[in-house]
Amino acid sequence: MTAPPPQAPQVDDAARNARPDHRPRPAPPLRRVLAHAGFEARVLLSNGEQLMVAIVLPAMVLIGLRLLPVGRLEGVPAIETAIAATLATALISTSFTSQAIMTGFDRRNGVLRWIATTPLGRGGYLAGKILATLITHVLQVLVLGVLAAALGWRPELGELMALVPVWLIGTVAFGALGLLVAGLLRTEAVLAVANLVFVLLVALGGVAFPTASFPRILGGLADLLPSGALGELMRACLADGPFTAGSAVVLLAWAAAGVAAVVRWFRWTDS
Amino acid sequence: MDDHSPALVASDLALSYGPVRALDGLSLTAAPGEVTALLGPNGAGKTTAVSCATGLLRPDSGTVRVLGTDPWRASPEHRARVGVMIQDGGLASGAGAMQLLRYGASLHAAPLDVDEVAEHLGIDEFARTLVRRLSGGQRQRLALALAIIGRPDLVFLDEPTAGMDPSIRRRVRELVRGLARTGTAVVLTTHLMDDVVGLADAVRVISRGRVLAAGSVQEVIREHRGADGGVTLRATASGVAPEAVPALEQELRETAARHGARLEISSAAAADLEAVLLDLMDRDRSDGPHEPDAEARGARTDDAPTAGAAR
Repeated sequence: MTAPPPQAPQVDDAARNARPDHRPRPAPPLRRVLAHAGFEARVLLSNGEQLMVAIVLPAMVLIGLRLLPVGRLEGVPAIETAIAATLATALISTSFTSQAIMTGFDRRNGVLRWIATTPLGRGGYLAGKILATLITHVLQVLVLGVLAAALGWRPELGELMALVPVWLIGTVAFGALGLLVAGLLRTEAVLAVANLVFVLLVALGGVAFPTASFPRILGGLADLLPSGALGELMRACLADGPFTAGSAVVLLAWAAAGVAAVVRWFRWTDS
Repeated sequence: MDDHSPALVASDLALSYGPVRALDGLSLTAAPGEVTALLGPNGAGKTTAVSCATGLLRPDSGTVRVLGTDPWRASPEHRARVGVMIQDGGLASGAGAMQLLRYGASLHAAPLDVDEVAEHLGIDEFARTLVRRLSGGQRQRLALALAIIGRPDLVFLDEPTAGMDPSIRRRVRELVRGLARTGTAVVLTTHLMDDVVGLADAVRVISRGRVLAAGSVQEVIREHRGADGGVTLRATASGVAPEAVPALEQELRETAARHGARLEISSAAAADLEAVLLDLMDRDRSDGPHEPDAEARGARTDDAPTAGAAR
């Protein structure tokens, strides 16, 4: 056998195939998913535009609603309605907008094709993506929570516990919608649609302002949107807002329909 | 699957995109320890064939087996044994080069040493640069590193040397040869004759979704151009000091003569004389008199130069 080139990596180590620990095999499933989640979260958090969407815009919502006399509920401290709207905004920004944009570019750049050929596979990619989203959410809640605390927010443990199922269902619903946008539209369109829909949902979709403050028909329509349902449930948890089972049903329905639509229509390649 | 079974067996593959027939009864094999080149013009069906072999596309008809497995139903265990460098890179644009390579390695239980691979392919020179800021050649190197990082038994390389400068191209070719020497089956698609002549043990000429010719480079040339088994080597003196050319030429002629090859030295910018000389000398040393199969030795000798080979 010819000697390997001096700088070559040890791909041609003659003992390679005789040593079981060097045979090609995948990392354990959990390690693969964690590796992808960590990778994706680091990429997301090191991207200036994504950070802007994930942290800066929700922070602006928080400060705006804390200081301006809008979006409030009768008899509820302004900081409580503000933090409810802020966390809903943060959830939508990461689960929907950031994921749509990142996944859209991944598809255009062939990343999804390459991933499908690796031990991670498509299932692992989606699992890692969901985990990365949840990691980012935790960081968002910490940063925005500290800012809200500085503005006078004093949360109770029960409120935060009640938030968890809403947070999870909301993540699934908006994550699925983000993947759907990324999987169906051209990348340039994904960028535009993800940002435009985000702004519209926050401003007019029942996130920043309670749907009860809308004209009757518009309020009824907003109640049927995932953003309206999420906003109302957040306010029910964090701002002593009225809990309506209808909002929970609407959000669950969007989550189920979103996942089904992704399974049916998501395209892994541009071709 | 035993060690001598083909790593890839595709039989009578057909696949259409609407009215366009991308694969039209394509059949091919690739053996462990060999570099198999799929050669053909753009749109010939090379990438579609590789996509079927890597489970990215499902053929309308025909069968494909990769390491004895249907790639469409491949498990993570199977995918860990198959490295893929896809045509459009498949690289996450927001990641740093080394960050992405380390991530790729983390998907495998026993990857190659990341730093060693990075050093060999020169990735350490742009380790912290974001993928979206890399040149085409740098992206190619990173994609190649990701394809081999898991020590695959079979690796698909799509245009592996495209956009690379000559020194890196040479290192990549050494790497590919090294992979084949250890028993890895290498399937590369290319339209560069230099890649085929300098690297491939076997070539499949593909056009309009079918294999038009198959065999060793020399067999294909002999069969389809009526060659008598000899080849003409053409090389240029680019990159070589003018005063060094006569001596190099003489040495090259002597080396070629030992292998019974004819040689033409031209000034056309088609190849690098020094690279040809070094390649021939490398082959001369590695093939030596101990090669058991005289016919195979002849074929490999003819494969050796990086310059274009033609009748």
